[in-house]
Amino acid sequence: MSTVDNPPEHLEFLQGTLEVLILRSLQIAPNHAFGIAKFIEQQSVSEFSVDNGTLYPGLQRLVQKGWITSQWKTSPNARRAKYYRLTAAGRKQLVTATSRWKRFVEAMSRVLAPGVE
Amino acid sequence: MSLREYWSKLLALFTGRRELDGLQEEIETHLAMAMEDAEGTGIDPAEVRRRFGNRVAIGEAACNSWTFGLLESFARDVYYALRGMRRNPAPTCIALLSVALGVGATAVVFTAVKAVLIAPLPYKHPEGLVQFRSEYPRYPEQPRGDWMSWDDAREVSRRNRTLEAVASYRNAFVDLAGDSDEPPEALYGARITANLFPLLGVAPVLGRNIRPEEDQPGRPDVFVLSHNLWVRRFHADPDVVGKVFTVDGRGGTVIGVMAPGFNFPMRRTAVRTPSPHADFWAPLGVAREGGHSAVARLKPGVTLRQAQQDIGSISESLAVEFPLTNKGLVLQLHSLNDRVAGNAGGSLFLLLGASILFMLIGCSNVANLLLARGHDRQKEIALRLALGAGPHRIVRQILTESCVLAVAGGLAGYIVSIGAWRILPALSPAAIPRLASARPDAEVLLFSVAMGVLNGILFGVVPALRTVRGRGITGAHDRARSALVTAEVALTVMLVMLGGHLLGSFSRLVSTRPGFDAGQVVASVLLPSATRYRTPEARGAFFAKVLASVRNLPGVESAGTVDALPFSGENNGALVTAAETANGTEADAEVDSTGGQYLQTLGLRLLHGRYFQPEEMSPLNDSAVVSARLAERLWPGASALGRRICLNCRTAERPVWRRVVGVVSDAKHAALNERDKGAVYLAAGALHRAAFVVVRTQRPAADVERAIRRAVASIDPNQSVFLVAPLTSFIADSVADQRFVMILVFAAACLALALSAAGVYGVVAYATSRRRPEIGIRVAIGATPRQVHALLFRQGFTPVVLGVATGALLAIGALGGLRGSIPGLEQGVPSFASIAIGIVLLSAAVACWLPARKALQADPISALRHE
Repeated sequence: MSTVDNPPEHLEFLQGTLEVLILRSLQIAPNHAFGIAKFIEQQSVSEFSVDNGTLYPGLQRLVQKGWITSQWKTSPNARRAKYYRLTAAGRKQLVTATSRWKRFVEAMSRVLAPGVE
Repeated sequence: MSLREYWSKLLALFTGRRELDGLQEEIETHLAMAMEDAEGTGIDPAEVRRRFGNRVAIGEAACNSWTFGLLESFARDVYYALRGMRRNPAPTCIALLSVALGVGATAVVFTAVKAVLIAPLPYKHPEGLVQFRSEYPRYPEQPRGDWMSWDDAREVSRRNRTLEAVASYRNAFVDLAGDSDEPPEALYGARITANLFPLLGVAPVLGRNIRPEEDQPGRPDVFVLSHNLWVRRFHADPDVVGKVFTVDGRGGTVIGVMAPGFNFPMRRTAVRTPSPHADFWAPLGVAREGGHSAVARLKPGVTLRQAQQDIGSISESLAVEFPLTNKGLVLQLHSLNDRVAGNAGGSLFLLLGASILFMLIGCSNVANLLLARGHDRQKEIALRLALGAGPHRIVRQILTESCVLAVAGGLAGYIVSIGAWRILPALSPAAIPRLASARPDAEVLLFSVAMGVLNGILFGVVPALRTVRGRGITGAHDRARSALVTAEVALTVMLVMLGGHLLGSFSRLVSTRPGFDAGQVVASVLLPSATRYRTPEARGAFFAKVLASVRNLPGVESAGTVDALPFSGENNGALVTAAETANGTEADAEVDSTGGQYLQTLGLRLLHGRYFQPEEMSPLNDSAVVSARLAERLWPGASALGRRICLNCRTAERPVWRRVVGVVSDAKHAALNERDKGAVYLAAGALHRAAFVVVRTQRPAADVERAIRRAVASIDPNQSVFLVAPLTSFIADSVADQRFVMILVFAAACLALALSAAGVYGVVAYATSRRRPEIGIRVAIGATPRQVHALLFRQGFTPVVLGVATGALLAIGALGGLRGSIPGLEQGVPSFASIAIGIVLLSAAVACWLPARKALQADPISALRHE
């Protein structure tokens, strides 16, 4: 993540968060690395900021797991870019991971909810 | 890591195909997009670039997700280490040699320690096996040792509550008659009770064990053969069981063959036998009278201490019930393991200590080399640290280099130990049981590698830390080197002094004059078969014929017989009482029955009186010859001639008095380092009791051996000759274990001297070469060669002198502590220690002087330009 003088403190990624976010960003359409990073930042209302040093290894890990594949294509503004696309296994993984994250978030908020003691 | 992930990584590792095509292009495009995106937002493009991050590092991070992380970086370190070693072959070879020799030495000794002390005895549950021992604390003249009378063994077996079984055995020799293919042969083995093998938990691999009913007097003899004898003499005949051979002139049936490697008893009483291992086991039968050895097995759950108390109380009641035989006798119980190892433990631990000292010397050598190398790499490492490499990463790399060196050295050390153990079994003294069968195995390999890694840690850590801390571009490094030189020299001095001490006491031991002239004496051992020569008279007649025949052999100057030859392992102790003195002086002495011209043959000088006459060999003769030492003890300052002595008069029922007719020079009997107690020689009935025939001759021992064997065969073709050997070899065998330890420690000390001389030379030469610019300046501003020499010499020599002093003090302290507990360290020779220290100082002086000379010979200008 970037620098100290970046005023709003970004949230840190929890273990495994980035991978789900990448999968989610590719759910609608294939995208390139910049697009993925931008999508995550915008959707999280800039709560998350994607560090490129984490993003690229994350993409490689997903390729190794066979959840995404890549392909060079020309972008709308006529630039050659590498596009990542979900595979069938990736789609399945996204569903599983999404429901697990929802359970996790619910459980967390229950525990943290101001108490009925 | 999922299987699929693992597989794609593995594939990537071997094919190099990683889905990273155009990774840099992808990253560049990414940056361009980000810059484009930021246009018009007012953010400084430089800031965008900064936020984007280091593109090279991002690419590397992406690449790294394709590797196995730590494992692969370790492999890379190993690769760098090997490359570095190949680039500097000379220091690498010296380092490898140091480690290999050091580890090799410890592995050699560890192999011996493992075989002799650690490996369990090759019997079932050996920890439960115990050996009996008879002691007469108040009667020094009585024989003591690992024996027990037959009656005591029976009583103990009946009365004890702590032992499962008691088995007796004794050494035995039999004559195996020859046939058309093979000459008659004397065999060394044991006569045993039928319960011995079940007690040890062993059984023949072929045939069967001895049955209890076969172990009765008067039963036909049966034999269990050793595997070795079965192969050697019976050509591994699978049908040997049940065959009858002529043994001791009677039929003996082979009933079984033991497994290869089985041996019992492990410890021999005779110094020399034709074979180091027992070749047969036969029932005790009639051989029950007298002393046996006895072993037993503790009942489950019984401790040695409980059994010892049990036996102790039985021993006390036996002494009360049978005062005639058991007065003063104390039966003891020892773990069989301890009795087998005997006092070999001390020698082996001494060797282990010496080899560890040696290994540490090798270590300090390598540490020095690594320090020097670390110094040379200072710049490279500083650069890498500045470029952002983590210090732990560099420490890990340097340590990996040490470990590669160490493991390679450990493996080389294992190979050294294998090589050494090809030679060592031949040198192994039979007095240390199981040593000759020691071989490096997988455990020794493991030990070697572990020792190598220990080496690596010892010599690797300090240089690695020093290099990274980057401190002490000069000062601290030099101090570390000096300390290492001091340590190395101290270790060497300790080892060399130990070696010198051992060599000194060994040379003093072997130069001890045995008191007779063994040079031209050949001894043969003749054990007439008890079944064909039943009576003493028959034996006497046989020996009379042998003596007459041997005396007339060409080249034989004189011949004689004796019942207990010096250094043969046979000793007859007795208490000698002198008559005609006020208080009836007593002294313990060796008593030997000597036939023929025994005293003359051995070269015992006649001091007073005369030697024996041939007719004095008649059984009723009362003549005795005493040694000078005994005469001095019994009749101080007076003549011994004509005096009367009585042997074992305290216990004998009918005292027999003897008359002294001669006094001869003193001689050692049991060992070179025994104290002189004195000896009595008797002629009466000597041929009846003879077992050894000795001849004095100028001819080679091998010729005489053939002649003696032919002479005996012409008298009795069925009588084997047990052994023919020069008397000097009997003496040499008696010091074989001291010689073994001495050779090994001395070899280690010599190698250590060479290693540390090389090490000190290397360090001093390196330090001097680094000072060449400084020397150049000194010479340029007017320092004389003499002054430069003095300066370099003083600085190079100070740690050496410190080391010598430390080492000498430690060695003197250690030797003082060890003396007495380890055989062979009793007496040192100061001259050996001084020579040893002299050699260390000399080699260090050369090591200081040569580089200084070289530095001075160089042109000062070129020396200044050097850097």
